[in-house]
Amino acid sequence: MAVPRRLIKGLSIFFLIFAILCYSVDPRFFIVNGLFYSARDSFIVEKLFLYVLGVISSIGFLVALAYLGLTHQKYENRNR
Amino acid sequence: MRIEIDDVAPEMLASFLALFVFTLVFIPKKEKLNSKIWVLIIVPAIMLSLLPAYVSVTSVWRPHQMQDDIFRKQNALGEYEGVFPWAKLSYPFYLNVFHSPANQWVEDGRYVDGQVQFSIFIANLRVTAVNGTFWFLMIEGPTPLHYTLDFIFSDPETFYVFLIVLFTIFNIIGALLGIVFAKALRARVGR
Repeated sequence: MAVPRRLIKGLSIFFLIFAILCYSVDPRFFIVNGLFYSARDSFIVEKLFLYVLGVISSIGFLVALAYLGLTHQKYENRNR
Repeated sequence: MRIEIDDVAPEMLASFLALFVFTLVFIPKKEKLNSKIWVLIIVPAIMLSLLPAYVSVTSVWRPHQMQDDIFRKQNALGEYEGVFPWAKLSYPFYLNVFHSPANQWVEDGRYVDGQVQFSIFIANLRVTAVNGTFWFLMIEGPTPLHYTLDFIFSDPETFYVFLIVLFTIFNIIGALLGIVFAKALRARVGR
């Protein structure tokens, strides 16, 4: 049984929003203790975690887009 | 045990709501959930659960440098609850940390020792508490706070990862409930 295209579309939207969220969230929003702390390496771990999540969801977004693009012709032919 | 109605944050399980809406909108109505579709739902469910878990645990406690804010921004019981919307993202599961007040610290040369207690709450019920000690160097300005915990994981880093994994599992349960509720609602309503 094939995977419904609607689900893949939803996944691509989800991954896009999630990637933007991960790239744009600043750990200083949710860590009070670091707000006025100016050490350069203070947020390395927090940022790294969010970057990794962002990269994973970006890849997911690209894969979902590629799937939609590659199956587009078959989908059009079936609907015709 | 703490039962204060005023403390209840007006929030639901973020992952529950997100997956509920996702299932309602993006899964076709007559679709049976086969294994391939399950995998495609579980992946975003895990990611969606990981982010609130990470934010809500990290907001309360991170095992890196810290200022004395954690001592000043305590509630009446001396517990630090984190920054409001972020610390309660995995609500009803959340974390509190109690540091013993300054008049109970033991000064040992250049170090200061105190008691610490990490508590995990479900709504307003304290489920479990992990005791331990903290110490830091007596110097001016923000310094790293070191923990030694009386738990399976005595070092703070492993305990931190354990907390994130625990909260992620709780959030995944919420997300799965969201999927099940959305499917049930659709079967009941019939569209």
